[in-house]
Amino acid sequence: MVGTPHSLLRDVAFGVQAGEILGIVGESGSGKTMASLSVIGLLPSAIELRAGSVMLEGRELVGEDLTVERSSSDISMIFQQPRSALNPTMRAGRQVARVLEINQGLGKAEARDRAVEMLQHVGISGADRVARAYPHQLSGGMSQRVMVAMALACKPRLLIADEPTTALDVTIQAQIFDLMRSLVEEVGCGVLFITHDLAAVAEMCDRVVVMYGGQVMETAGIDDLLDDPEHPYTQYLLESTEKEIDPRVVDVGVNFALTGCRFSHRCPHAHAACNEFPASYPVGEGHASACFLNKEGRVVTS
Amino acid sequence: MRRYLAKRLGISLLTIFGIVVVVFFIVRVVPGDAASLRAGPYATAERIQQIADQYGLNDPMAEQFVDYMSGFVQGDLGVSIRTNQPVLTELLDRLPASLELAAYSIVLAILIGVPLGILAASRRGSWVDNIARVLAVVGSSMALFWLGLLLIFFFAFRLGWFPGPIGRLAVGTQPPTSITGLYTVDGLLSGNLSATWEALRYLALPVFTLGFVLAAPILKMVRAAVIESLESDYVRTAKAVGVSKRSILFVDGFRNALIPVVTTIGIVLGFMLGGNIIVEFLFSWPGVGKYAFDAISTRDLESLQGFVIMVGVLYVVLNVVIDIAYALIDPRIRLGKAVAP
Amino acid sequence: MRESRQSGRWRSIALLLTFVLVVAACGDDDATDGTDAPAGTDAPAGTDAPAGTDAPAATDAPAPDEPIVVSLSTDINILEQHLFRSTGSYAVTRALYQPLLDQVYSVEDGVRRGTGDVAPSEILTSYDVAADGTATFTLNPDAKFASGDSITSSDAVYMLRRSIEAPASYIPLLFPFIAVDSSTSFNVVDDLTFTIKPNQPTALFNRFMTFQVFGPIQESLATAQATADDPFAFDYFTTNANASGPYALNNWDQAAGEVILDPNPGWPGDVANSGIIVRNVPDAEQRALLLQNGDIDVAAGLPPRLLDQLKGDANVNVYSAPSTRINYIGLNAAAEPNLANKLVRQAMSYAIPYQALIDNVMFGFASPAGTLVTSNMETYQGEAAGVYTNDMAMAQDLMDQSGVGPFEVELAVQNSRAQDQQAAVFIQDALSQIGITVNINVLPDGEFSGKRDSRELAMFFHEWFSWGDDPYYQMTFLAKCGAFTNFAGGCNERLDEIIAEGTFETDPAARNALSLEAQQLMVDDADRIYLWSADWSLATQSDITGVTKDFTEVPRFENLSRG
Repeated sequence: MVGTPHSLLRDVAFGVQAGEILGIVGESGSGKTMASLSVIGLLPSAIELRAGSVMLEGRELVGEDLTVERSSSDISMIFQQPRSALNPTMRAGRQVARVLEINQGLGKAEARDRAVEMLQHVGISGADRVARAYPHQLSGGMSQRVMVAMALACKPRLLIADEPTTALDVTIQAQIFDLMRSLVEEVGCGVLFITHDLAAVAEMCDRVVVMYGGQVMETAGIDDLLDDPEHPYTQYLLESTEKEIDPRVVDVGVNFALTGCRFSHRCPHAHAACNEFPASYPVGEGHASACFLNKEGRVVTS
Repeated sequence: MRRYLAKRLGISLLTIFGIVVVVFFIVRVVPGDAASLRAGPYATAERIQQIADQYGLNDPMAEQFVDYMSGFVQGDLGVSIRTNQPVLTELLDRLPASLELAAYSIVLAILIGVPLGILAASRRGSWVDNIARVLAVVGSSMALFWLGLLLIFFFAFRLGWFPGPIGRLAVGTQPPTSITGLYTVDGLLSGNLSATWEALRYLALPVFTLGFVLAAPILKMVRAAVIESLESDYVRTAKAVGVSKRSILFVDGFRNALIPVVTTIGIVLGFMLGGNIIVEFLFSWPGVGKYAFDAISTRDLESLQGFVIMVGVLYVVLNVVIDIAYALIDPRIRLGKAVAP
Repeated sequence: MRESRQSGRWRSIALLLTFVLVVAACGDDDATDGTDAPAGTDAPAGTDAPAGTDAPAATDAPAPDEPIVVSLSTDINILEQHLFRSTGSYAVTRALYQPLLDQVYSVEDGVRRGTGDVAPSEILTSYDVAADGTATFTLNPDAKFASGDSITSSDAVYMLRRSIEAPASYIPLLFPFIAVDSSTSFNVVDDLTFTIKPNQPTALFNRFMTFQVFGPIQESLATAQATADDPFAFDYFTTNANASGPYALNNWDQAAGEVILDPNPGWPGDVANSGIIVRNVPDAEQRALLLQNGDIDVAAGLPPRLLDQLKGDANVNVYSAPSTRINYIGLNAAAEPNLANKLVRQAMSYAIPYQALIDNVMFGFASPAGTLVTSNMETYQGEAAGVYTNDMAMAQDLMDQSGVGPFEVELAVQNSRAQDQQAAVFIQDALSQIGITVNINVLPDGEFSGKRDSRELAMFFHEWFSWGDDPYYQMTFLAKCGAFTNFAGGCNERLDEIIAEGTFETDPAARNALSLEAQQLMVDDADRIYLWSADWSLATQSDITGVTKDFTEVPRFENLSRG
C-alpha cells in the first residue's frame, strides 16, 4: 500500500490443479481478496506488487516490471456484489456477447445469439428477456449467473470466484454452487474459490488455504482440514463457527506492524519465537501449517 | 417515461411561476427610480410622479403584481421604460445572438474539456494529467473579462487575425436572410457562405474567451467522473473478462461518467445563457446579456424583470432537457422496474 | 442521488438570481446625473489600457465615399424628439430633425465652434425678431421631408404645439425660459411663414430655436399614425422618422445596435459625406482601440485618460474645446450638520488642489470651474467674484474661525465614474489637512442616484451641462430654491431673485451685472465645491475633418468628411 511501510501480503503461495476447486478462506482483512487480485493482476491503483510469480501451466505471467501479463483466456474472475460488478448502462446480453466477441472471436450477430445460449446454460430461464435487461432490473442471483456466464465465456484455465454468493440468500447460493461445479467439470478449469464461509468451503472445495493477516496459515485437503486442523487460527475458525468463541482469543483486528506471525497477538499459544515469521511446515500429505508449534511436524492439539 | 416527463413538466411550470414571483419582488427592491430616469434631469417632482403613475410604479405592490401576472400569462412582459418597445419582442430579437455565442462556446468547451478530461483520467499521475489539471486551474481562475481583453489585444489589434470587438458582423454589412437568427446557420441555409464565414470570424474571439474558461469545469468533472468510474467494480469485471483498455475507457469508463458530466455541461450552459453580460459588453455583442446590462444601467425594471424571467425559463427548460438526457443515458433512471426474478 | 441533483439545481437557480441581483445593484449608470452629460464611461473593472501607444495592425483605409462609422457614448434608445432619451440618441435625432435656427461657426484648431450668434438654418430663407419679441420664420420652399413632401409652416407649428401640449413631452419645462406658455403663441401666417409670439422678448429665445427639439415633424404623418391613446403619435416616432434634417433614417436595427443614416435629399444644405453608420460599442476602452485600428472613424464619450493616450497616435485626431460644463461636489447640510457652517464650506473650497485635479485627473481636458457660471460661460467674472483658488493657509484660517472642530464626512462616488473616484482621493487628502476626514463611499450607480435624489448624501459628485451656454438657465436647475436638481439643497433668496430677473433680462450690461452678483453670492455661499469644467471632446481618424461643437455638444454629422 502506498504510504505505509507494511506489506499486506507476505509469503503467500498456493497452487491449483485443473478441475480442482481450491478454497481460500479467512475473515475479512485476511488478504484473500488481495491475493486473488494479485494473481489476476487487478490490484487497485493504490496497492502495488513488490514481488511474486504466477505460473500458469508452466508459463510465468509476472513480467520484469512486476505487472501480470494475463489474458482473459488464462485467468478470469467473478466478483461479489454481482449487480455493481456489471456495467449499469449496458444490457446483460450485450455484456456477455462482448466477452464472446473478444475471447472467442465471434461476430456481432453470432455473439449475440451465443450469449443468449450461454445465459440459458447458466440456468437463466427466459434468457431472451434477461439478455435485453439492464443489471439493475435483475435480481442478485440472476446477475451472478450473468457474471458466471461472462467469466466462463472466456474459457479460462483458471477461474477466480471472489465471494460469489456472499450477497445472495441461501437457496440461491446452493444453485450457484451447483452451477459452478457443473461448469467447472465441463470447462475443465481450475477454480480459486474465495470465501469467509466455512460451510461453503466444506461444500465446494477440494483443497483449502486458510489466510489471516496477509499470510497463509494452513494449507490442506478439505477433509484433512476439517478433521485435523493443525494451526491455532484454523482451530479458532472452526470452533467459532460451531460454538462460542474461545474467550482466550480476543478479536482486536489485524496488526500489520507485526513482523512475526500476525496471529500472535491473538493466539493462545503465542510465545517468544512467534516474533519471527513462521515458515510453512509440512504436517502430512498435502497438509502444511505455518506455526512454530508444527516445526517438528504434527502436534496433538489440546 | 411519459409519467416522468409529465412530472418534470409540472414541476417546471411551478418553478417558472416561482421565478416570476421572486424576480418581481426582488427587482423592486433594487435601489434606483426608473420614473425619475425616464423623466430626465430637467424633471420636476410632479413630472416624475406622472410617469410613475403612467407605468403603475406607485400602485400597491400586489396590484402591480397581478397586472404583471395577467400580462405574463398572455405573453406580455411589459414595455421597456427605456425604449417604449415590448420587452418580450426585444428579448426575442436579441436571443439568437446570445444563443449563437453560447452554442459555439459550449461546443468548444466540450471539445477541449472532454477529451482532455478522459486523457487525464486514463493517464492519471502522468505529465498529461498534470498539464490537464493545471489548465483546469488556470481556466477556473481566469476572469472572462481579462481573458477577453487579452485575446482582443493580441489577436485583433496586434496581429490583426480577427476582427475587433465591434459586434456580430462588420459595420454596414447586411446580415444573411433571417431564418433562425443565427448568422452562421442562416448563411448556410440561404447559400450565403461569405456571410457564414464573416460571422464565424466575428464569433471567434468571444467564443474562444468563453470556451477556454468554461472548458475548465467540464475538464475537471470529466476527469473526476471518469477516474471514479474507472475505479468501479464493473470496470474491474471488464478487465477481468479481457475487454481492451480503449474500450474500457470509452465504453465502460466514460459512458458511465456521463451523468455528472452532463450535469456540469448543463450548469455551464445555464451560466452562459444568463451570465454573458460580461462577454457581450466587452465584444459589443448585441445579445440578451447586453440588453440586461443596459436595463441595469438605466434601472429599466420591466426589461430587467423580463430578462431574468427569460433566463429562468431557459434554465428550467435546460434542466428538463438534461433530465431527458439522464434518462437516455442511464437505464436505471429510464426503466424502474425489475424484469424477472 | 436524485435529491442531491434537485437541490443542486435549486442552488444553481438561487446562485443565478443572486448573481443578477449583485450585478443589478452594481449597475452602471450612463445618462442620469446632470443632463446628457456623457458620463465618461470607463472600463468597469478599472483595467488599464494595454501598454503602448504604437499603432496596432490597422485595417485598410476606407475609400473617401464610404459612410463614416461613428460610435457614441451610449446606445440609441428613442428617436422621438420630444421625449428624454440617451446621449447617443440625441446625436441621431439632431441628424434627423432640423432646428429652425443654427449657430454661426468659427473654426479653431480644426473644430467648428458655435459662437453666440445665430442664423436661419438651411430650411429657412429668413428669420426676423420684432422689438416685442415676435419671431417670424420663413421656410425655404426647397426644404422637403425625406419622403419628398414639402415642409410647410403647418408642419412647423404642429411640431411646436405638440411639444407644449403633449402630456408625454418633456419640452414644457423649457418654455418658461422663452416666455411662452401656450400654443396660442404659435401661428401660421401662410404656407411658408409662421410666427412665435412670446409674452416678452428673452435673451434665450434665439438659442432655444437652435436646439434640436424644435425640428419640423410632418403633421399629416403624425395625424395618420396617431391613436386614441397616443394622439401625437409618440409611439410611431419612437422608432420611425420622416426626416427634416440633413439625414434620413435608412435603417435602425435595434437588436444589433446599429443606425444607418443616408443624406436626406429633401434637405437644402450640403452633406459633406455619403452617409453615417452609428454602431454601439459599450466599452470605452474597446471604442478607443477600434478607433486606433481603423474599424471606426469617430469615437465619442472617451474619458480623458484614453484621450490622453490617443494623442500619441498618429492615426488619430483628438479634438477638444472648452465647454460650459460644470463638475462639482454638492455639500448637503441637511445630511451633515457640520456643513451648515458657511465658514467650513468656504474653508473646504480653499483647500482643494484645483490645478492638480485638472492636470492629473482630467489630463488637461478641463478648464477651471468658477462657480455655476463657469469660466467659459458668458458673463463669467470669476476674479471679480473672488472664485476660489487653492490656498491652504486661507483654508486653515477659515476653519479655525468657524469654531468647528475636526469632523468626519462621507463623500459619495458613482461606481462607474473612475474620474470621480480618482478626484476623491485628492480631495480626501486635501481636506484631511484642515482636519476634515473624508470617507470615500463608492456606490453602485443605481443606489447613488436614488440617495442623491432623496437628499441623503452629504457630499457627492455631480456633472451638469446646460444647452445654450446661458448662466441663468444653468443656475435655475442647480441653484434655485427647491429645484429638483438642486441636490445640494442650498437656498439663497437673493440668488433666486437674480435668476428670475436675469432669465428675462435682454440688456447685456444688466445681464453682466446680475451675473456678477450671482457669482459673488455663490462664492460666498460655497454650498458647492466647484471642481472643474470638463472640455467637450471627440476623437476621430486622422483623415476626418468637419468636427463641430454646438450649444448642445452633441456630435454633429453633416459636416464630417473623410480625406
